[in-house]
Amino acid sequence: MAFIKNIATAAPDSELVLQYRNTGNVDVLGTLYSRYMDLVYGICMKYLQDPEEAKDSVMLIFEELVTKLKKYEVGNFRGWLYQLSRNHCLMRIRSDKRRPVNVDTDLVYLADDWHPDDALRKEALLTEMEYCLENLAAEQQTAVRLFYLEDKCYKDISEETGMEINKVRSFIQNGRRNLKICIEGQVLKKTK
Amino acid sequence: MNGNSNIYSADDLARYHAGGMSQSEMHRLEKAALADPFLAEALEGYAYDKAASDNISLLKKQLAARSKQQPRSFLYSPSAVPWLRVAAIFILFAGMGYAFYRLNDKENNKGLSKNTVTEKKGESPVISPSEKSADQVNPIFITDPGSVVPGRPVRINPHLPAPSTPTGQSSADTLIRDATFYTEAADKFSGLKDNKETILSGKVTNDKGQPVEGAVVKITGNDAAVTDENGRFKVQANQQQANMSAATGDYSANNRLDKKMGPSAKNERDYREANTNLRGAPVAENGITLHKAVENKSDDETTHHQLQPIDSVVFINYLEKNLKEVMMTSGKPYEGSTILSFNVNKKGDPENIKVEVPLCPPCDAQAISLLKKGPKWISAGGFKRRVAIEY
Repeated sequence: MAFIKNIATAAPDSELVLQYRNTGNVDVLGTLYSRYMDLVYGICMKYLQDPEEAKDSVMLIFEELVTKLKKYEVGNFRGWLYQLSRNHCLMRIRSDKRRPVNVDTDLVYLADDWHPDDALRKEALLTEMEYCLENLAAEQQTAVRLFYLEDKCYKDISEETGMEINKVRSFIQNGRRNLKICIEGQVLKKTK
Repeated sequence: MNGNSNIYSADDLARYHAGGMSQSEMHRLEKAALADPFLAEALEGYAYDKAASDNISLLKKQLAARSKQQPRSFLYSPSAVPWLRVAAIFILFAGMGYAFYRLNDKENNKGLSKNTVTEKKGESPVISPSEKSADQVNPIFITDPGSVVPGRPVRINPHLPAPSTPTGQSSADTLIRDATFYTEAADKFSGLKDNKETILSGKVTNDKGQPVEGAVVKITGNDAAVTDENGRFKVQANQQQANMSAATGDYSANNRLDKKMGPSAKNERDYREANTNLRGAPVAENGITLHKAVENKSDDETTHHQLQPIDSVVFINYLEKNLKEVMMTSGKPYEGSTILSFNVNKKGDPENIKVEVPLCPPCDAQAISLLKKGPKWISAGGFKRRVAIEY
């Protein structure tokens, strides 16, 4: 038992998933889940906005894991857990008709694997980056410049520009998505 | 913050919202959150909980305790999916209820002749209106002569086999398949305080003067009787003014009787005898002449007080011609009943139609449409009628 625990605490997610699927040992799954429980709680708080319901949901999501992880092949446990947690909370909101569903579409995050840092690090893309930044909407351009080029946090950008923090986040989110589309388009043009 | 830059703890996320982070720490976290939706949404969530660290500590204890337990069934987990258990219990009870309903339904259909008809030797059976439904609907359902069930909703089955004709009677006179009458609200009564219980006896004949066996005779709010082989009936009447009706499958009549004033209807031919016999007589002879329903339809003077040309047989014939099967997506037809309730207006048309028991949306729609376009109905004195349309 001590041996399993030692492996469990040090092993990567994929190994613990495999170990749980092979042994059905809930202790192993507990170790894996504890790595992300803080984030799961945050997700539940975001959607349910009630600590008691969020705590209840964190434990219910663990119970879902106990059964679902045996049924499904899971490649990326972290990403899968994120979707599972989100779906659980949305289902709970839907089942509770008293609760108004209010999900701000501006703040729905897209799980893209692209990051502006990757592009910024690449000298070859700097020209395109500058060109695309210039073509962004004014508010998006300001927010992206302040955040990525001047390393300012949301709070500082908000104070400097007078925009709400949520708006700042939204402009950055949308700005970097538009940047990605623009840069990819520019690169494609040059390769043709 | 944890050693791994991708994993922020609850403390970090709570500190971010509490303003306990430096500008560079906040920027790093925000940057990480932009690249990681899981972290970004969790970060938002921590804005709503100022005691997040305490709650996380509690959760860790719960998780540790849970991790030591063996895997348990999803259904029997006390904290997990209580709704699923509730659903299971509901389904169980619904199933039992449905089974009970079906059994009861079959029992009633099978055992109609065992019903509450009290029959004395040499006398017409007298039916007591003991079972009145909550909404005051008091229909009578007959499938064969001599078997009457008061208090049951009308059940019209277009697929019922035609009943056998009793020997010695012509089919037109004796065909009783479904005959249904509703009690009507007695309007105003007058006089005869000491004459509270009157036995009315009489004879039901057809338009040729022949006795009609098996006709149902119904007095408002009182007993009902079925005529014997000589067309005779005996029925108890407690009220001083009442509607009296009698019907077989093809013939129907409805007389308004007033023990003191005589019948108030305009059809003199029908009421002449009743008027004579009722006056001052504790046991009155009441003659009811049945007219063919179709003939009554053209007579505007009598239609208000005579049964309209809709008894169940008329409606069954109408359904047989017009009711179409509704198919499921699997290609099989729906089987079951749409039960409708409705009021009958003065013209005999159904109104305020409601689906009491639905079968399927197209089935219900067809049932309502057929009822609306169908033949006229006998007024139920403001009370509701029910009809089951079987597919």
